[in-house]
Amino acid sequence: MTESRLDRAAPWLIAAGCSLVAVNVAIWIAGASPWHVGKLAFAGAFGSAYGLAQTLAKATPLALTGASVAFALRAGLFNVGAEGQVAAGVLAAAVVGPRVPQGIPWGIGVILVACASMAAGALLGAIAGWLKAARGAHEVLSTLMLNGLVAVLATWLYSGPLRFGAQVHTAPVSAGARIPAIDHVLPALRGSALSYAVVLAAIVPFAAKWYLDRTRGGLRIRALGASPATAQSLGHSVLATNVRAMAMAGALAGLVGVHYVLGFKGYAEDGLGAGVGFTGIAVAMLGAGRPIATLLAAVLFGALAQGGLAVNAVVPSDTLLLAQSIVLVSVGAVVARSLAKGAAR
Amino acid sequence: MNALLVFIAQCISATTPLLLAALGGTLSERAGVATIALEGYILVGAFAAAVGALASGSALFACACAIVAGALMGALFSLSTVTLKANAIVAGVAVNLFAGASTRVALKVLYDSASNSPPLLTRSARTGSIGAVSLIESLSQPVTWLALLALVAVVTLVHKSAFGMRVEAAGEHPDALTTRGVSVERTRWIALTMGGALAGLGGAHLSLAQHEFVAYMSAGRGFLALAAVIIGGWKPARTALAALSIGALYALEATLSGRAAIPTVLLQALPFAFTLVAVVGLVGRVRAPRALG
Repeated sequence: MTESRLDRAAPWLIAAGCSLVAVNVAIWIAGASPWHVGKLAFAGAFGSAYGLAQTLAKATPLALTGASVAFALRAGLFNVGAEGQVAAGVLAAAVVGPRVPQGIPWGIGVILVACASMAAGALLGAIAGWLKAARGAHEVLSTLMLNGLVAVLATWLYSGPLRFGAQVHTAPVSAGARIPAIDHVLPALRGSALSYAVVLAAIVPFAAKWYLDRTRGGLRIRALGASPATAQSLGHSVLATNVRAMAMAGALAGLVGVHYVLGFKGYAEDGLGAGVGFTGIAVAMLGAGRPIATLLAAVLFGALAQGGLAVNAVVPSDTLLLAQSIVLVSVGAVVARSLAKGAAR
Repeated sequence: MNALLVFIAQCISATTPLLLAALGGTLSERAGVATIALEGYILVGAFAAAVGALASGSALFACACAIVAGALMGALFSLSTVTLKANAIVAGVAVNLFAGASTRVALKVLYDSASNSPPLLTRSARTGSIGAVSLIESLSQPVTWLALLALVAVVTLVHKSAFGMRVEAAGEHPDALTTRGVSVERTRWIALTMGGALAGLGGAHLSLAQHEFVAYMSAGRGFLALAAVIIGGWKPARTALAALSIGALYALEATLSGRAAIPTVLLQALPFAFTLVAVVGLVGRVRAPRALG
């Protein structure tokens, strides 16, 4: 079954139309000129090297959470827990990052911390996957509860045990685990949050798709997504596949810790990464399992966040973030069905 | 004695929003639509109540505003899930994102603040022992009494009324309902909109009891309310008991935190941990509406 170009573009067009109308109405109610605000937002997000770098830096975690949600969907699982998995990944990076021994070769340190972040996210995902398969607890509810648990734990750790002296953040990560900011090569980007972690985010959606489409493990996940009965008839363990699918989705979300802690900040603090898990659902809906579309969707939402900051003096920055929800509402109808078809393929 | 009174007062206060949201969730889930949107309903209800209270100075008018705002969110959720047939989880996340962003925008526009509203419905402090004062404070909240009323109303509606049977049919055998000439869409619209109104009223309690609106003050209560629906086996009376249990854990946290040797983090984690364990333990013993999705 092949989709026409129009089928693929339809969710994007509908989302663009609805969110343009809604955001413009919101801007107008807030008492500003939509055209003026639009120009400001565009200039803020794309108009300068710095703005573009900020947009990409904000897109980095979204590409990862988007890939995570899309990955679990192929197994027929709704990963509403990316929010908590991101928090766990950030937490793990904050714990392991400063403990990487000085003098360890640079790449090794980064890999160590990345593994810790992925493991933390994977653990949360695996719990939800296990609860689903072994106990029949719906993954949406269990991941929401896990989100709440991790948020409480993280707030406590950041305010006490992990606090770095008088600072409101954790100890800085070792030099051997820092991912350099790109402003070292491009001075025009000075001060932006963009680090080489963006490369990671650009690769992950492709790697996830390759795994799903080309490996034995990916086939099992897709079979489970088609139906548990299919998985069973192929001789797969439904329990193991549920756990693996959720663990891998959790690992992808956990990688966000690398972006924030090793790249952007160099340490962790409370609230870092809040919201990117839920926004990842919107990214996954627009991405519909296609890596390039996922990356474009991440950049789109990154631009909305950055553009929102640029217009903050005229209208509240959240005005542009309203677009996220409108996109979800308007696309949900179209995409949820095509994703269901995708899962069945 | 004082500690006990404070605990009871906190129980009442923490249960009220959970109970109302859970009753709203019971209605819309029984109609066959998974409702993680409860979180967004609560937040918007809390904000609308704050606006109403600041504009009129009346708590009852604030409640009315919250009910209307919640019903509008319920209608929005119906539009996307029932009419446009969007996936209910996706639409629920959308409603929650919309609630977070729109209340923040409105906070900025109306009160020029990114985080909270001006204080509302404040009055001079009551005198007396701390236990008695907090109990009177809890019992003087109109939403608490409205919640009890809503419990009776929802139990009656669900188990005794023709509409309740139609809602159940919409959640169990939508095709049978269609065969009988009753519109499934219309039934779900009404149930979801009522659910939004109830949860919105629950939100009103948050801002009225705290005498201000704070951005994202729902803080996961909608998700816990949804869990209460599941723990209660989609039956309103049992759901109310589940909401009371979760409320008691919140009250434990509020009463003990900073006082006992127990670390606050454990107390704060209690509602989520208990709920997770309860849901896992009860699976198989409760049955979800067949058409839930």
